[in-house]
Order: sequence, then structure tokens, then C-alpha cells
Amino acid sequence: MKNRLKELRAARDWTQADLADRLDVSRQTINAIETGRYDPSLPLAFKLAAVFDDSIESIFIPAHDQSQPRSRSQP
Amino acid sequence: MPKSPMEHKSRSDIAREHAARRDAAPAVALLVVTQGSLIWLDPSRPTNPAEIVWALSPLAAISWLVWGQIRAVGRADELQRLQQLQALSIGFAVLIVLLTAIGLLHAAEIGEIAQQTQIALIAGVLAWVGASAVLSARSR
Repeated sequence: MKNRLKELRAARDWTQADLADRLDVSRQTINAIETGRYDPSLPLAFKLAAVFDDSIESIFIPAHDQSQPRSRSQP
Repeated sequence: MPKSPMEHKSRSDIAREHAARRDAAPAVALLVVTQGSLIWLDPSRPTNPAEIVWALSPLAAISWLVWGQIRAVGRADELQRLQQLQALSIGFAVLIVLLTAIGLLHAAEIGEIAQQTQIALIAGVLAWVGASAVLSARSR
């Protein structure tokens, strides 16, 4: 599943290790999620949304959804 | 400034590695001592309980390593647990196939079963370790 993790992380100048520390997971897991090799569990997805103060739907893009996600900040 | 290897790891990665080393190091040392003593002194056909216990002494270290592995699975995050499950499945599958082959060979009175069983065990463990390394490398 595509996601905006790298973009959101870069906006905060966090490394993958920084994000992994905030979520208490391995850096490997963050890399696998960013590259689409692994889809996180629901609890981890909620943690990601909380860390980025955004909704799960705006961070993760289902394969069938071709439109751009809207963040909470957009009208 | 180029990043050191440690900066590529999260704090939880480093904590898990240290914990795994703390669990494994004494077990490996015990295995070296017990297995080493058996290889060096080469006892055969134990005749008393003490010698039988000595012959089985590497089991203590093996059990300790297994316990360490169970603890490592408990410390792992969700992706690492999935990878370990996949790697264990591959190792187990290799072991089952080889043990079945040994059974068939034994039924046909081909080969030495003790040696074949050791080979099957080693192959199963190697398949597990190899699969674990490959799966881990794919997500680095």
C-alpha cells in the first residue's frame, strides 16, 4: 500500500530511526512500510496517525484509490 | 559527516541486539565448553549415570539458546515476528522433508540413520538461519 510516510517524515526532518523510536518499532519496519513492502497493523497505523497528527486515510493510499488523499488541514 | 552504522538503527533496535547478545553469549560459552569436552575427550559407550549426563551436557546450552530465541521473538516488533515465523516455517519444512527422506532410506536399508539425522537437523537449522537473514535483508 502506498503511503506518505517519507514525505511526512521529511517535513519534520526525522530519520527513519527517529520515527522508529517514537513508535517503538525497528527502523527496518519503518523502511518496509515506506517502501510498500509491509502494511502495518491497525494499532501501529493508529500510532502513526497520532505521531503525525493526521488521519490514517490521509497517510495510507489504498491501491484502488487513484485520487490524492486530503489531510486534515485541507478544507 | 557520514552516518555511523549505529545511527541507522533505532534505540529499540540497539536494545534488542544487546538483549539478544546477553541471552546468547553465556549459552554459546557453555556450548563450547560442553561440546568441546566431548570432542576432546571423546567418551564412548557411557557406563555410568555421570557419563550419560556428560554426554547429554550440550543439551543445557542448546536449551538456553532456544529460550533466548523465544525471548527474542517476544521482544520483536510486528514485522520481525512475521519474518521469524516465515523463516521458522522454511527451516521446519526443510527438516520435515529430510526426516521423511531418512525414514524412506532407512526402510530401504540405505545409509547410516544417525549420521543422516544429524545432517537433517543441521540442514533445517541452516535453512532457518538463512531464510531469516534473507528476509531481514530485504527490508533493510
